[in-house]
Amino acid sequence: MNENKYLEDILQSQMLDPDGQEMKDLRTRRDEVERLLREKFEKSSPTIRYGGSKAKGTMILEAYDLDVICYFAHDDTGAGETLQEIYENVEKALVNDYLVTRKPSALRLKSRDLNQWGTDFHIDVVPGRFIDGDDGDVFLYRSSGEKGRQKTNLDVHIKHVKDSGVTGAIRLLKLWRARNNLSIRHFVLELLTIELLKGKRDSKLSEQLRHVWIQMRDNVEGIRVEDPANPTGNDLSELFNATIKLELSTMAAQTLEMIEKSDWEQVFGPVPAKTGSPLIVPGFTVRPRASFGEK
Amino acid sequence: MAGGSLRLDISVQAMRDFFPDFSLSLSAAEQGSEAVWKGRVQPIQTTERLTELLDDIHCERPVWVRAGGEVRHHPDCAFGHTRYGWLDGVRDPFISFDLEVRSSGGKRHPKVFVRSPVMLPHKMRHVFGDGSICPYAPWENVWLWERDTVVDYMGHAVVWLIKWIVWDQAGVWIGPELSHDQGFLVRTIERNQQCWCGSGMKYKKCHLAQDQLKTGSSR
Repeated sequence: MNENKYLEDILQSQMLDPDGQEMKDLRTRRDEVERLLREKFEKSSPTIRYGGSKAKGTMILEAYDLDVICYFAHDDTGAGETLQEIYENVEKALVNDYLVTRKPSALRLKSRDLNQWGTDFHIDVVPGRFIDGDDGDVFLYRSSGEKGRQKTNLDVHIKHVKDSGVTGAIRLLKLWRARNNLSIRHFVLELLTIELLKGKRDSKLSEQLRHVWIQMRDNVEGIRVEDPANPTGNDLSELFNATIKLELSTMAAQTLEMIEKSDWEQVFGPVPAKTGSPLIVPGFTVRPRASFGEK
Repeated sequence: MAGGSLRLDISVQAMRDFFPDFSLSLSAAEQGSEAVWKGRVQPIQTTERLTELLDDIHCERPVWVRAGGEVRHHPDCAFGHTRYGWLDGVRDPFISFDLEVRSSGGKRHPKVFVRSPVMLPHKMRHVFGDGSICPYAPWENVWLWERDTVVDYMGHAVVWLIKWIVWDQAGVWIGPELSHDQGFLVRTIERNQQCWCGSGMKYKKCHLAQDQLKTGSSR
C-alpha cells in the first residue's frame, strides 16, 4: 500500500464519529460541567468556553480531550483573590461530583459513579482570570514554575493550530506520542510540529513526519518552541527540558530506523478494520503459562 | 500509593470494557482501598475448534480471550494440532464460574476466587493458601503492576479455569506445572525476581529468608 494512503487511513481510523457515543457522552458531560460551574459561581458569571484538541481540529481517538475554560473577570473576586484561590475554589466546586486530578494549570475530571469509578471523561477544566479588557488575554494559575502563573489566550492558540495547515501531521504525531508513552505535552508537541513544518505545509504526510523525526533526532537542541499567546513572556523550557528532548530524540531515531528497515505499520500498526457490527466482540491474546500454586 | 490508585483507575476502566457484566464495589483494605468485582464467566462456550484450543493451552501457545471471558482458538494460529486421549474425558466443558476479583492497583497481583462451583479441598489445585487461584509463576513477570491491568490477569484466570475443567473431568492438568517445593523455589527464583507469593515484592525482601530457613539451604 502507498505510504500516504496508509497514513490517511490511520488518520481516518482515529476520527471520532460526531454522532457516535463517545461524542454524545462528551457533549453531555460538558453540559453538566458548565451547568455546575454556572451554578456554583452564579454571582461571578464566568465566561465559559470550549478549547482543547476538539476545538483545534487535532483530536484523535486514542487521546482526546475537551478543555472547558472558566475565566473570571479581572475585577471579580467572587471565586478568589488570587489565581491560586480561583484554581482551588473551582476544584472545590467540582470535587463532590467528580474525581478531580490536578494538572499544572487544569483540573482533569473522572467519574465518581461506583459503576464507572475512575472512568476518564476526557474533560479538563481550566480556571483563569482575564488580564484586563476583553481581548482574551488571561492569566492561569500554574502549580509549577517560578511565576506561579501563565499568560495565555485561547483564541490565539486555537487559531495558531487550526490554521497551521499541518493538523494531519500533528494528529499522527499525537498518536505516535500516545503509542510510545512519551511525556511531552500535547500543547508543546503541537507548537513544535508547526515550527518544524514551516514551509512544508504542502509536503506529503510521510515527508512531513520524516522531516519532524529527522529534526528531533539530529537537531533537538536547536528546536525552539514559543508560546504564540505570549512569545517572550512564557518560558516553555520547563515543558521542553533535557529529559523530554532526549526521549523525543531517541524515539525519533528508533522510528526512522523502523521505517527504513521495515515499513510504516511498525510505527502505527495495521489499519483497524471498520467496526460497528454487533457481531464483533473485542478480545485480547493470552499466552498460557505453567501453573503454579501452594496447593 | 499514588501510582497504585492510578493503576486501579486504569484497571477499573479496562474491566468495564472487557467484563462489563461484572459488578464493582470498593472495600477498605490494609493499604488504601481495594476494588472488588463479582461476576460470572463461561470460558468454553462452543465445541468448535475445542480440540485445537485445548492443545494450544497444553502447549502454552497464544489463545484468544473475548470480552466477557470466553476463550477461543486464536484466529491467527498456524500450528498443527494433536488430539489427546484425555479429551474423551471432558464430558461437559460448558461450566460457568462465579468469580470474585480483587485488586488494590498496587504491586500485589490481583486475586481471583472461584465462589461457584464450590471448590472443595480435594478439588483444589494450583491455588494459594487463601484459596485464590494461581494461574502462573509470578517470578516469570507474566504480570507486572506498572504494565498490566486486572483484565490481563483475568486472561490468565480464564485459561486456568479451562485447565481446571479438564482436570476435574478428565483427571489431567494440562500444560506445564511448577513444583511448590520450597527447595525448588529457593533454587529457581533469583533474589531480585518477584516473590512466588504474588506480593509483587522482590523474593529477597519477601519469602526468601523463610524458605531458606525451612529448607535449611542458602544461596
